[in-house]
Amino acid sequence: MTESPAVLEAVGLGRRYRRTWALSDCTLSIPQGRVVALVGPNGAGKSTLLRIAAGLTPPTTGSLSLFGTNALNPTPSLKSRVGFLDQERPLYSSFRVSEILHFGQSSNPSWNMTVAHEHLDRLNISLRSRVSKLSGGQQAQVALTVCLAKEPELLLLDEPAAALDPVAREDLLRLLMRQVADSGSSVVLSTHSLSDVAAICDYVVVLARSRVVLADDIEFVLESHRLISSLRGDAAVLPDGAISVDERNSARQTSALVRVELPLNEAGWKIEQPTLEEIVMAYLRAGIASPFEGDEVRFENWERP
Amino acid sequence: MTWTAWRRARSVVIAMAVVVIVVGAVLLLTGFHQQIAWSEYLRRPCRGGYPTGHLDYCERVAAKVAGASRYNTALVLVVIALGPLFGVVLGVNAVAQEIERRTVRLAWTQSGSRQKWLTSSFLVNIATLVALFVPLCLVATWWNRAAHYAPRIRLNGFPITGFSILFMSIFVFVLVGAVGMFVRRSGWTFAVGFVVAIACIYAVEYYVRPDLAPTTFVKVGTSSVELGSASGFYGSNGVPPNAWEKSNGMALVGSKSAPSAATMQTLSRKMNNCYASPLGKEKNGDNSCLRKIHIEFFALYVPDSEYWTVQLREGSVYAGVTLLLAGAGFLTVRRMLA
Repeated sequence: MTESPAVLEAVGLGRRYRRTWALSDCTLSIPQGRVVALVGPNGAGKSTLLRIAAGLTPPTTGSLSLFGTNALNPTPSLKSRVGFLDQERPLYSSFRVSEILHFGQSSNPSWNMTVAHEHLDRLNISLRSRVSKLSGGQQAQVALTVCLAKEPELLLLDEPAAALDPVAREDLLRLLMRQVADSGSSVVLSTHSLSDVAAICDYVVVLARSRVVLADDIEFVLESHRLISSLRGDAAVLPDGAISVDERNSARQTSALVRVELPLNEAGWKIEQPTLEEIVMAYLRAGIASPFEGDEVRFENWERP
Repeated sequence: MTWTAWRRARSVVIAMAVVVIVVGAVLLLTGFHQQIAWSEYLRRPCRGGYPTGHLDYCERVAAKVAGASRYNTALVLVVIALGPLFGVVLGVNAVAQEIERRTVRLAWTQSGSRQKWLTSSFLVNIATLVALFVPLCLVATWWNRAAHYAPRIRLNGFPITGFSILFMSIFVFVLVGAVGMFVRRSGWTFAVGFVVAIACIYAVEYYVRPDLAPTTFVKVGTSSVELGSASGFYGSNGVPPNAWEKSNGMALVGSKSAPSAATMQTLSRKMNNCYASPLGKEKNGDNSCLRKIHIEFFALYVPDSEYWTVQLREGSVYAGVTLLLAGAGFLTVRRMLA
């Protein structure tokens, strides 16, 4: 597979708040034109990573580049290429929706008012409405409109569907897919919904305990993982070419989610194709239990077989 | 960004404009009322004392003046408080509230720089303060004269005349904006900013302004000397009307400037001792004592003619500190957490 140039590249990125590392030693390269899911439990560092990328939070360690340009002190021209939707959807609550759009237009040279109006028309959000009178979901849509009408090349969305009802959620996901298809934008979105990841994303980054534990194409992730189980209850040695991600032993059975590097020798093992959800959950469980800290396994640096 | 800064401040500014209009109207009404009362009081027959035949009339006119000026102190306090108060409110609104409500995350992720955001915010709010306070300053200056409230160069007259309120308000606005970058909460920024602002204004009034004023040293004639208490003696002659008398007391004959407090205390003690001695108890004993100890009375004052010099210098001090604070704000905002 030919890799497109990285739209976001982080090397050893870390952010510490007093004594706590919100993000630590994050090395990551996100190719252009992808819809990237940033997955992890609360406090894993997803929002911190997105805020650093948006230029809102300076990192404590490491470097970050967007489109090959140092993004730690982003210039206005770099900022015009990036759209950011914060988790808290901050908007000027006393403004009318039309005034929010005016704010966007006066702040961005690349602003497309037609895109903004079309998006809000589709959602039946009146331009005369005051932001404070809108529902949480509508406010999220207005905030997203500000991001989209800027026509950015990279969209950073922090839990964009969190406040939305199922219909609005589906509309949003469809809109994002169309945005990528129409404009070729790259999207990095954090989410807790693994079904959203499977539905619209083609790249996944799993964060656990402030570290990146998995970052790759979803297609490749699915190809390179297997669920294996054995009826032998003696914690059998894993087949050659399999590296355990998450292993469970009981008196009667041993099961594991493994990363495979070689064709597996199936003798004595039942081998199944895991779902993306099972893979991500295994990494999250393993990340929370932190089996990686001692042996310095760096999953984001896996060599592809 | 300028439009956004204005739109954000708009409702607060409208409320402030209403307050300024009300206070300005009260100043105009009470000013005219007092001007009429004073002109009557200062006309014949009451001018220069109450003649026997007009005693009742003059007392009535004097009572009218007193009645008209009943609320002057409260009114002056309100006018002076508006400067720091509006500065604090706009400063909190411009920075701390944006940080607290997270709207800086919206503003700082658009295509402009953070410095541009801060510049727009500062310029719009400073322009607002200028628009609000220039008319109020003019009305308050007129009122001070019409109401015979206080000589404009003295401590109680200076803050409500000229452009003192405007300088104060702009300084307080930028100060509170800078405080907000660190405190990050509206309520706490309001409280901390207000206390710091009042402390700074007090410090300027009592520790900076006296050194900004070009003073005049004058010898006071002994005929006008009155016996006093703490400082021993008090000279009231030689200081022109409407001047700001900074100090007075005793100095050695031939002195060209006010002696130190310690020297003044020593001279005062010597004078008291002499006055208690037989020489002091003689006729014109005080003059004999002055000659014996070789001292004379002086007064140090700032004449009214230096009023605009003091205004300009104090305004420059506020402007300088304001620029420093704004510079610190521009440096801070570059690396600030949103």
